[in-house]
Amino acid sequence: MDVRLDIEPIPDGLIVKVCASRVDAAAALAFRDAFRQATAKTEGARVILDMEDVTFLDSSGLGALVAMRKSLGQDRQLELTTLSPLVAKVLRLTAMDKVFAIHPNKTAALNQSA
Amino acid sequence: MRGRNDMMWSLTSHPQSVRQTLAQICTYLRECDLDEGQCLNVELVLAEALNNICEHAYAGADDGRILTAISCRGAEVQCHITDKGRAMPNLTPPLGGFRDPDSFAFDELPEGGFGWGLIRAIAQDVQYERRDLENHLFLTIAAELEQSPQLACRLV
Repeated sequence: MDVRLDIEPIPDGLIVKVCASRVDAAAALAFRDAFRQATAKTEGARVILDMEDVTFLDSSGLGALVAMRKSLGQDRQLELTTLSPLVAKVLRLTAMDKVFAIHPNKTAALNQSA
Repeated sequence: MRGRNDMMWSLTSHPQSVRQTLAQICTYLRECDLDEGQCLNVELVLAEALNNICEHAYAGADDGRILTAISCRGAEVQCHITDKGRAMPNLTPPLGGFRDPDSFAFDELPEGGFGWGLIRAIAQDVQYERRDLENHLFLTIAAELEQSPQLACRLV
């Protein structure tokens, strides 16, 4: 399944907007690969993933997020913004919310520096 | 008007077929007057159960048949999923459970293994039977909040 990522540079990194409503088993691998491709040649410490459009995330989608986090390496952070209730629930139930910096919205994320 | 309602879907063991079926099930659940939160709970539990059947029962083959029966009884949703794939190990659904991510080295953070823990955290009841050469999985999802993480066998 196609997952489109819109990339926007910011002073200390990137914002990556996920243009898809579902990050599930059908989309997870394409999502992860598109993200890796988009971030491979960039260097900013902050990578912010804008999840505003994503209303559904299953364990495959969560696995992709963790793989993406690992692909950035420990010197870079993967931050998530604007999580829908179901996405937030999956992260909370699995305790994997600890792996990411989570912001309520894009403005809050941008107001914070690395 | 709420009451007993039953519907059945036939799908194949492919993520796209699962996705399409889940969309139809969600439409049906809204017609049964379930609220959005409850629809998403059911959708997540079914996504995990069906993805497990695709990956494990049918071992990645995309031509396995799966039947999903849904009954809405008030705000409680009962699901009966049948497939003809491999039996569950020990004929028992896994307990799942989530380790604290701080207990992993960075490069070893888990990218999988979350599915059964999510099912157990949200479904009130999980039953499995092997009948002849078929797997039968029974899931009950009620309208109240999901089980607390303590009950989902949270491991530290």
